[in-house]
Amino acid sequence: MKKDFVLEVHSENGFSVLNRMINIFNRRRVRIKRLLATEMPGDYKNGMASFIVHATEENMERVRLQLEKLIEVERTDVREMNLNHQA
Amino acid sequence: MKTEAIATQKDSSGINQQITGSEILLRSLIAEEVQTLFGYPGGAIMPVYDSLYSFSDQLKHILVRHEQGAIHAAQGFARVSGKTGVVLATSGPGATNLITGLADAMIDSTPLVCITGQVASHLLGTDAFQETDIINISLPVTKWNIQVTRAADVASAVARAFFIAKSGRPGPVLIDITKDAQFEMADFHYEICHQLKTYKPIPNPDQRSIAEAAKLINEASRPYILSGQGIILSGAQTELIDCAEKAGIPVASTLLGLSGFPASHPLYVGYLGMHGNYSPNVNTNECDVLIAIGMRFDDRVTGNVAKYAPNAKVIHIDIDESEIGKIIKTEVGIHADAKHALTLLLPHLKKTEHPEWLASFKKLDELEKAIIQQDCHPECEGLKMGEVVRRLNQITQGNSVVCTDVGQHQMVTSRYYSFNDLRSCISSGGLGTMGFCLPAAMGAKCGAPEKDVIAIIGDGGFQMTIQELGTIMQYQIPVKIIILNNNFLGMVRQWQQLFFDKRYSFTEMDNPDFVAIAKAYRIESQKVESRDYLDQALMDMMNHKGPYLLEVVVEKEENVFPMVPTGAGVAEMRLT
Repeated sequence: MKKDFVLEVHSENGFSVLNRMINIFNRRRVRIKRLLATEMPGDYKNGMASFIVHATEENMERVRLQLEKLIEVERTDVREMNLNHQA
Repeated sequence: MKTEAIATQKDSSGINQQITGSEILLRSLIAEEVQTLFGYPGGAIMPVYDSLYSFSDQLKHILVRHEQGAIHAAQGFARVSGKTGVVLATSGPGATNLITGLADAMIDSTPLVCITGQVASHLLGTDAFQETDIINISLPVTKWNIQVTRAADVASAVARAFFIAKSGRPGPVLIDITKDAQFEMADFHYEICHQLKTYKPIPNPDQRSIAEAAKLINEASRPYILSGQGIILSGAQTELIDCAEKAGIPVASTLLGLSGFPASHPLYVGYLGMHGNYSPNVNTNECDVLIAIGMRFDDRVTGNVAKYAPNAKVIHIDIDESEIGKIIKTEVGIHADAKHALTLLLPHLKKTEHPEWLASFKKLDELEKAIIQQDCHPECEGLKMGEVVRRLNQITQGNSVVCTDVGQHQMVTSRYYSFNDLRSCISSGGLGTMGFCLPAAMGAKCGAPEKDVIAIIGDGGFQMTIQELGTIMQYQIPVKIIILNNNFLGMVRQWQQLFFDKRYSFTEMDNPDFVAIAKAYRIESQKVESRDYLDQALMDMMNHKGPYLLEVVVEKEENVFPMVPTGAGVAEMRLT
């Protein structure tokens, strides 16, 4: 069953990093419902992208592992979307 | 970034001397101990080629005839030598011509550093002549890529590129350097990269997983090892032999794993996959513990996943964590380099034997004997691919490096050539790239000049990169080329025969005179159509000092069996 997940990806902030992340969702046909990407305050070399995606739990885990493989990605945090608390 | 300083450019008085970005690039390659490059010049990479003119005593550049040839050559070089292959190309079409090779290297885990020229930075995004957004185009088919717009950033980009390409699960990296960065002057200081903040290529295997895996193996009555390319990439051949021998485990190989476990070893049971050997496929569904090492359960290996290894508890060892559990549910996943994991596993294994289990492979092998007989000792008038490969195997004693293209000849070679030496099988696995073989063989010969390198190619694939005969001619690269010519795109034709009611839709080929073409390139060649002359022709080829092309006309409508049809399980492998 598909659910909404909040996925936060902490990474270096290079020109193609966000594209690499989005490619991983596209390739697995995982729908991005919302995306917020930001530089870390006072640190333009690092950034964080927060996705809300619609996927099965299994697909979410495969995507997370693929994201963690990216050279620039430091870590990922995933949690199921809590309808009472919008991320 | 953890680094080790190894080169700085200073003048005679010890003061840092500024050099161009192009020279920084070449000095960086030399610092990485690169000796051979495969490439093709063009407008946006001309400053690099100009600098290369002064470095020809340290960097051997092979001028290919098409950029796809360069990247496949670099792949062959990397696969045979264990080093990182290096490619130079210009912007626009030069860069896009690398894409097939990048995709091939990405899926087959081949370490490459590709350097492309780019239009000057002030022209980026303006649709300038030969501008293409190669960074975004290559994103899905590179392990990492970077665009460099300042000469001062060239050296650190190269250092990171080599570290990333070779470490962890290897893969292709692309560095796109704008033309102004190639001309610009900067200090040169090179530091080898050993570590990056966000990239952890060497996993530390969990000891509990090792112990759990050992327990499963020690309690198993029918354990079975599937050996993939991870064994070759991590140099774990000895560790694999030690583990297999100690615990008495039969070993089968994937296509890319061939040569990772000696084909002559008594525990070797054959080659896995859609057109692999019968017993290793069928017995996958009989084993109780499946130990997959450095392989990724490609669909050509598993057949129908729902019918795959139903009785087995699966142990999966892989350096790429995302592969574990991706296709096949895993009982014990070990995220580790194969050599490291097997070294840790060995002391936990009980010394044991499984004679009945091993005998079951031999019993199934009997069912395949009729096919082998038909392939290798045919009674038909025309030559068959299997007998050509068998005779070649006997003549070379399985000690040559053999490159294959994609299709029937590839499957036949994988079945009948005995790959005994590590890194002796060079083939396009995951991507199945026709046209791979000829340039890859050329690169393999450059990477292992002391070895005989034989390219076995079908008539279709040969014509996809036939232009590289020009490169072979120019540099007199002594590769031995065997074209198994059936005037068909044989594997597609076989599928059309079996699954599309013999509707041979655009698979028959009207071919040119390959011998005449070779002669036009001043490459010694001959054509053989009769069994009576096959041995002599193969001997002539192997005894010839330079490059050689041997066209062997084979049966027009030969099928490769056994075969696991699409949708079937491995145990449903067809013998006819």
